[in-house]
Amino acid sequence: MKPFLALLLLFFSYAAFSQTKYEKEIRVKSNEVPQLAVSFIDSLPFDQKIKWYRETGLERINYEAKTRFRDSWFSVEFLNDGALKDIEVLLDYNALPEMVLRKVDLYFLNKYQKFNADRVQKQYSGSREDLFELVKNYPEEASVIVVQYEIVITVKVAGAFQTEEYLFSADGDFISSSRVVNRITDNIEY
Amino acid sequence: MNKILLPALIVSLFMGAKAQSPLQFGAMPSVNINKKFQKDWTGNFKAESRLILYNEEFDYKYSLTDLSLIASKRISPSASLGFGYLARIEDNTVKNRAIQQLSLVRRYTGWRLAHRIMADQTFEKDEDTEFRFRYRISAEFPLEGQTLDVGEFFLKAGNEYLNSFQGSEYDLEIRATLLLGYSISARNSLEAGADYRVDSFISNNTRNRLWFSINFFQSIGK
Repeated sequence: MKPFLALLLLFFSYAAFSQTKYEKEIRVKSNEVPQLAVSFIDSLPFDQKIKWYRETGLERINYEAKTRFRDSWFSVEFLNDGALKDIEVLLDYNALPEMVLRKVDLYFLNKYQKFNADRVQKQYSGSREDLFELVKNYPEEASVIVVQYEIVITVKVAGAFQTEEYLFSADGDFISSSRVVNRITDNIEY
Repeated sequence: MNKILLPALIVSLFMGAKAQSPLQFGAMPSVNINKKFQKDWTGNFKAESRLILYNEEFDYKYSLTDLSLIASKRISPSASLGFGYLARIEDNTVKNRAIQQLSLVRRYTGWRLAHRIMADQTFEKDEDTEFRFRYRISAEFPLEGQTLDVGEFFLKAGNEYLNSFQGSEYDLEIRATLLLGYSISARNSLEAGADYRVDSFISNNTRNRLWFSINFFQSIGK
């Protein structure tokens, strides 16, 4: 047993020194959120429980309010001072507007031949007043709102699966993409 | 909620198992080392020991050590197929086990769910080969926020059903686990909790085993 315990000890001590810098998202109470953000959420016609989160990155802190409203999942994002950043609504990939779906599909199929859509979010940005109107009239949309689509896909590249996050315009034109690093799943696989 | 509910759940699991007899209680520490290779191949090495602390009376006894190596290949965005070998070192003898497994991991907002379908064959001198067919479902829930970040705790719950065929005998073993985990860094995590196992109830000879499980996971390389 002794070699085994020594091995265990070795790994614990190694683990303690191997911490790296990270981003962190934690659940917070509404009294820990800037008042400006809370007052905006309170002014909206949301009728279900609001869950607040704080995201801490290397150079920024954001706040996020999540709730379900009119059969959709809403995420309202704020900057550190409580200024409104955007509103995101979860969508099914096939629920994308027909023209956008056709263009995005074509874009992915040209690039990867085969892909799996993991998550689609419609992002709305605009003034506080415009976004207030958006939620009030949801799912109707006013034309003053800026819409973008964030699409997370899994694709096979050089024999290995990888996850990518894409941003497309309201017309389905490519804006940007980045690689998503998924957390290791060994502790629920083995 | 979690701060009160979690210890209560673990304690009730222990108490529930203790209420029945006979009960075996022990500790089961393990170290898992995972390495990623090219083209979505992964190697998993696991060393796990069992120490019996109570078997109808308090009695410390080293029981066995399992050493296993599994190579798996991701075959779809959520599924991996694995093949491996396990050596069970017990009472100065070695049992050999071949392993085949299919695991599926789904990521949901706020939690992860894994299914594992596994077959294994255990070979031992002068004994019939034991064939087992197993299914395990496990879920992992972060306790702070919607995603598990470094420096945060998580809860892992699992339930497994093991069908065993050896010669003309059949047995079903049921396992339930509840572990509290901590993400030390992006590459390693530690879990500790209860692993309750019940078997031989089909033959009216119920055996309850409760392990204090402590698992360390380390990912190495790229």
